[in-house]
Amino acid sequence: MAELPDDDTVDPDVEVELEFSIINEFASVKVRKLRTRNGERLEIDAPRVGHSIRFDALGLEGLSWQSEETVSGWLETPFGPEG
Amino acid sequence: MALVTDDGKVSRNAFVDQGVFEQELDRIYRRTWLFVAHESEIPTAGDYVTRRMALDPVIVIRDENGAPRVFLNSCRHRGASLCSADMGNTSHFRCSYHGWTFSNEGKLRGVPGMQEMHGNTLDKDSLGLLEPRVEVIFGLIFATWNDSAPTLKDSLGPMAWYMEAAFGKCEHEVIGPPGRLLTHTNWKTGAENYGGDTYHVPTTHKSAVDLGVYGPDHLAAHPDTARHLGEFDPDRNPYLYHPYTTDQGHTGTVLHLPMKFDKPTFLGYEDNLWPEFEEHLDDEQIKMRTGMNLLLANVFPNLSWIELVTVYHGDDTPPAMALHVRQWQPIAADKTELLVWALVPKTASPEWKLWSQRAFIRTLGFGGNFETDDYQNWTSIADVNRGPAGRSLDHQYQGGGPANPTPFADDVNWPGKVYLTENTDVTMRAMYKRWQEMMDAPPASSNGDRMASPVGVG
Repeated sequence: MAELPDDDTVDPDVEVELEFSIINEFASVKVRKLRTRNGERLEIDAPRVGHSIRFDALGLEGLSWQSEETVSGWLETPFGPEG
Repeated sequence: MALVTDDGKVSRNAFVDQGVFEQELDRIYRRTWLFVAHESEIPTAGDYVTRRMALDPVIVIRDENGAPRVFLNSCRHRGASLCSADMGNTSHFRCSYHGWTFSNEGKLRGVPGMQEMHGNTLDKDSLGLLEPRVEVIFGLIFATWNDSAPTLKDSLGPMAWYMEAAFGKCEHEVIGPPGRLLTHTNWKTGAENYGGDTYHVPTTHKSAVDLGVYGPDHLAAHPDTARHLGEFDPDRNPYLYHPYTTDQGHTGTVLHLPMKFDKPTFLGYEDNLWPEFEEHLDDEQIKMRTGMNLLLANVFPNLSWIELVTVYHGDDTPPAMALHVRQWQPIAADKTELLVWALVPKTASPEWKLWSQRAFIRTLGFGGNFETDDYQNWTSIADVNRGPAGRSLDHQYQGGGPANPTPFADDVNWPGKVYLTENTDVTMRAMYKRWQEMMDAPPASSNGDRMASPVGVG
């Protein structure tokens, strides 16, 4: 496994297996594959808006059948939930 | 006042006067189909490039359903530009001013602080991005702000057939991003030149011609070509010239080597591509392309293209065809942004693609010998005619006019009006006739041409 920089945003109980970013001119997010003691998760971290989420395989499966319309609806509050 | 006369004179004010330029934006650019991108520049959902339709900046994007879309690059809130990058991939555009967010289908989706600002009363459906009409032909994406314009195909008229011969012979892809050059010249100066000014070649491009870059001697001598040749008559003019014109103001010229070919022969292309070309073209297009070493055109107003065989590379590289598209994007009467795209057949070998790219870079790329020759003249035209003395004069386009008519071609059966002569101004007169017709029309605001509507409206 490639050596990754120390990162105090990761719990001591998980290991980062893979890390990359997805960026365009509007936003940038960090994506990491995390290995827990007993399994794995995919973390999406959006540091500029201060939100983060971890998906397991089931959650990702659910994500795969979301429509573009649903995804678009998430951006009705373009910088995250309000009030 | 007519700036173009029937006997082939065009006032120099047409090239330097800012009032004329402003009128062109309304009478011509607001009303015609304009090229914005090649399909291969946005192959995947969310891929976009930013371009301009004259002074209006646009986003050209493939939406989530795979359709090419074009939007005015301007937030409906306070008008800031949505995209700043030249290219990218996105599902939404989030404005950098107040954060209004639009889907790549042009719908307003997100408004920060909606409840506080509007109490959810804002009619988001009426605030989609402004979207011109879009049509694609042979991989070329065009758009127009004129909802009343004829279809793209009708607007192209006979030019569509010549475009098919160049762009419809196979699937093409653009190499890299387009070159961009801010130039000190009027947009029409390049357009009229690419529309068929073969008369300038022996003078302006003498050094390149003398080098033998296009000389038929080298072409005839190269084994790749020589094996296809029947006879070659060195006493004849090295090329056969067929200028062509259309009522829509689109013009061009086709050049052939004066040689006989015993079968369809696509000079400058790898043999293995030829069957695909034959499959996609009609018999007359195949005949036109056989032995053809140059096909050039200007699609009125400002899209030019040229397919040109570089015969002699200075080494043992076979003759290579370079196809490129260029757009004279008007910025001011004396300022034009030139965009240049190099295209190659998608299925060509990597080696051939490199030869074609090199042939382009060395000739009509920004640093190529032809391009630098041309700009010396074109920038001087913009420079020396700004004063009242220069403006009092005309440009002369009488060549091959009524006093000495250009002969029609009787040896080909191509659409439009086709002539057979090396030197004539007939193409430029056709372009400026159309230009004057459009400039004489009432302003777009009063002639019934409907402006394109925002997404979801109209």
